[in-house]
Amino acid sequence: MKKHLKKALHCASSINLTIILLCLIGLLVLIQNSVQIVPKAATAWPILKNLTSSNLFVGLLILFCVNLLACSLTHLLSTIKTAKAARQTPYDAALENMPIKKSFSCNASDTVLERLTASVSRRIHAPACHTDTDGADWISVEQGRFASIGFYLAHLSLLSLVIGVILSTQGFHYLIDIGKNQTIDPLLVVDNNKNRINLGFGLHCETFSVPHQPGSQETVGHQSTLSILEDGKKTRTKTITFGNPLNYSGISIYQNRFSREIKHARIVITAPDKGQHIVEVKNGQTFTVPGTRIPVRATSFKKESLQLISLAPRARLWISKNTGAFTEPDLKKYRFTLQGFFTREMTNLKIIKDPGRILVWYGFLSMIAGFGIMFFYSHRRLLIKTTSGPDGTSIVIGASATKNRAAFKKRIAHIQQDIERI
Amino acid sequence: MYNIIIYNVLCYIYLLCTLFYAGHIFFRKNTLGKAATALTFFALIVHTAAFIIRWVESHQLGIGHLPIRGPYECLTFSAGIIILFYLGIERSIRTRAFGVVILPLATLMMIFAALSSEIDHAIYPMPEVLQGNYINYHLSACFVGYGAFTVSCVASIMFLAIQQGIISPANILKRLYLARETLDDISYKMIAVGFIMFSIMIVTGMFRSKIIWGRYWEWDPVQTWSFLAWVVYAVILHGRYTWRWSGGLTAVLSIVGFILSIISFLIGAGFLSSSMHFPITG
Repeated sequence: MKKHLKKALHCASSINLTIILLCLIGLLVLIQNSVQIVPKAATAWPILKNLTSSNLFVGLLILFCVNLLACSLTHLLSTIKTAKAARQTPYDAALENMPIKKSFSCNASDTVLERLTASVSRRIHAPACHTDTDGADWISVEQGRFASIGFYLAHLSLLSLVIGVILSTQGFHYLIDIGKNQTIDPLLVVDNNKNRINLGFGLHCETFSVPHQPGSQETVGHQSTLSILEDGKKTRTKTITFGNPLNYSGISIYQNRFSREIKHARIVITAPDKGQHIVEVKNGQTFTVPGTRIPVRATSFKKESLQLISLAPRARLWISKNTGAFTEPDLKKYRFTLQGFFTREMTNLKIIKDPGRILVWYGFLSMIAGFGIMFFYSHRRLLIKTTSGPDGTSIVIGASATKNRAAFKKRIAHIQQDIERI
Repeated sequence: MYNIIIYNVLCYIYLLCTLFYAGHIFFRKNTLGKAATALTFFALIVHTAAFIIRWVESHQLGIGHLPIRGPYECLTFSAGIIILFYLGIERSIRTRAFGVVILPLATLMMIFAALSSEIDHAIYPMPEVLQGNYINYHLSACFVGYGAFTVSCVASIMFLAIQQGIISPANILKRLYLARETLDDISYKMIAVGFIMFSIMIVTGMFRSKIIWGRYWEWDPVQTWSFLAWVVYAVILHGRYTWRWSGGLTAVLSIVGFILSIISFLIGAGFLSSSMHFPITG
């Protein structure tokens, strides 16, 4: 069982698999993009038009995530194993296995160790010194022991980004129009699955403006001052711009770039008790007839008329300046008159809920940190053995560096020169 | 506008730098080499000053934004980044042969930006949809990435030219000869820098995409081609770490990655096909 698990982990963490998956993902994206550019190909092979939404692509992405996880896990295990082994390896054996090695001797035996320590401190880092049972003196320096953390950070960041993006599809992105001094309470939105959601608070637009570039009519940016209403009371007020949202209980309200002039109709409804009610509606908007629960939609705005559709019971009525009434029993006592059309400037807002935002942010920051450590941070080790004899001191330098070995070699050459100058 | 005058003067300075580098390499004049390096360093300082002046001038016009909008600003910024990377490389490898290839490239970019009738030099306001700090990070990471990939691509082309014997110690181009390991190392380091920058560009773009289009990823052509370039560079880096890929294969892949990233730039600038990215560079 353990053997099979190990084999499965080995396969899943294979770098060959990573490269094959990256190539396949790239190929599918390339095919989709090429097909979209050529309209004939898109008509001939419609399946190729949406390859990135296909199960094959999603499957490849899942495999890629599994590969990232498995790769990080196996790498972590081998890093721990290597670190443990390195700690237990005697200095002699470690020196023997180091890729950079230099041996030389020096006649002045008294001051060599002090000079070496000073030179290593100046050129690399303050070393640790110790004398072994054979009488040899050792100088050791280790830098960037945790350099491999960059590898995990970079891999896990990609995983975090993918999961964050998938989670964000569970949120919503909804557009609303709101006029100056208008209140929407409660604030209702429609999520990606077309479900109506009550956000539990209201929104009031204090004002909005469209600043222009000095001396021209070119728009510089839109801004709106909004207040959040909790139980009808203002709890928060903020002026928002395009990239500067109002955040409230996990919801972000962004200024959209368009303010629109929306055509409104003003309808006068005369109730059976002769009371008059005025309703302002946009084309396609539904309102409730006062004193009833009957929803009526105003549609088909013409020059001097519009159509009212009663949704339950189903009935239609064209109204104009002349008063009209439905023939349905529940509505026939109400008289509807179109008082007129007018335009009203509205500010357009985006209401966004993004459950994956934190993961995407974490992915982004850890990706920068991970790549930075991975590419520019090196695990360096230096071991120097000095043995005093009748003819002077013999010095053996061993070093290893995971990155930029040439630069490390140069520093070691400088240390050698410092000693040879004695 | 002072910045445009300075950028125009810079074209001549870069042209002079190119001649100095060529003179140093082909006539073996060490003094010319030193002068070329000093002049290029001076040009880079002037270039930075022009960039800052343009930024200040945009603020004076009341539309202040980082000057990386539109083909003129993108080309001049990328040319500056390429020069910056080149000077770093020259200091590291202690030879000026690479400059003979890189300097003309940067000079051509500057001259094209200055003389092309297709390119408007005026400062325009950043479209509202692109205002905010995300876009500054997104655009600067993008063009630093392009700069790094350009240098990597040039190193890869030189590597292949040396491998195929087009540049060899025995022919007329012998002065351009560099050790293949050096070129491979330059290419790798520039890919590493470009890859980080492209990753930052992609993720900051994702944040903006969420606000504008409601989704982190839209498969817009610019996103798609940038992603493809990112995949190619990711493959190169993985192959290099694991299989110790180096030489011809990495060089060819690096050129492929650069072509993909340039396609993404050309689509974003509105030259190839339509994209929702067009307001950034158009």
